[in-house]
Amino acid sequence: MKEKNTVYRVAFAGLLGALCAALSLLEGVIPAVPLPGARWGLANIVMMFALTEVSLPLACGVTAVKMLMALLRGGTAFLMSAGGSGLSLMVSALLWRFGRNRISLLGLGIAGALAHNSGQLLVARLLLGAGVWYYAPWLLLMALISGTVTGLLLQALLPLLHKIQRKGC
Amino acid sequence: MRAFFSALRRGDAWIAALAVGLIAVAFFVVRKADPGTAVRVRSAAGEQTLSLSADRSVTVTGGGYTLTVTVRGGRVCVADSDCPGQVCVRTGWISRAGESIVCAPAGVTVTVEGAAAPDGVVR
Repeated sequence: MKEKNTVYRVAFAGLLGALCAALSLLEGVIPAVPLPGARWGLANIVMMFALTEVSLPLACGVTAVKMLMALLRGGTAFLMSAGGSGLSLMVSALLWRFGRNRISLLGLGIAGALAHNSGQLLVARLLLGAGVWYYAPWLLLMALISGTVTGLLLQALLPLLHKIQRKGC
Repeated sequence: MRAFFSALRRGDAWIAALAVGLIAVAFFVVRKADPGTAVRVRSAAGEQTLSLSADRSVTVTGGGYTLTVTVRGGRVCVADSDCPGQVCVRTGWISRAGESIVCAPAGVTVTVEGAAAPDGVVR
């Protein structure tokens, strides 16, 4: 039984990693956001699911996949994604560790998106100069919107995901 | 549907409120920043400075691409570019000191300069 569990866990981790990679690519194809550099953060849904329903190590793994996918879009995109995803993971993990009874996926989504775009901005500041500050309010506004959307989306998808997750266990 | 809403917590409202406050402060700070007086256009071929008070368009080439930089009404934008990605065009109009438009494929930067230091916002 224990062995079966391990096999299941590895398979499930692979599934989430693949989903994260697919969503990262998909997002590159739909430039629905009029702000350059801003993205919907669909792959962040997978990270939030991994963090809240499975474990922190898996959330780290999923984030690593996300960063690698950004590498396909070039060095600058990778550095910005790494700064954003890293900060987002840290803030999300801390919030969920200490406040999981006080916040839901909605709060987690907003906080994660804010952290992501702030991290992105800090890296952009280092790479491109002080001009990016003018862009900060729009990027933060975008974080509030995309964080709300992704948080509520995961909340709505959760019953479905639970079905898939528990079947094998 | 009810299960969906009962999952929400009071902390969510605090986080949302914090986010709104942060965005408001960011917009306020940016609004107060210096208006620019001139535009510096840099490319591999060299550098030129345009006044923001005179309307005109110039073409800049780099990396095999051609960009049209337009100054109108104290603002500047990349009106047209044949580069892939079009990030420079989508950046839109900029007008405050320190703001810039970057076209990575063409290696062109358009930076607004003002009377004060370009780091005005950070001070």
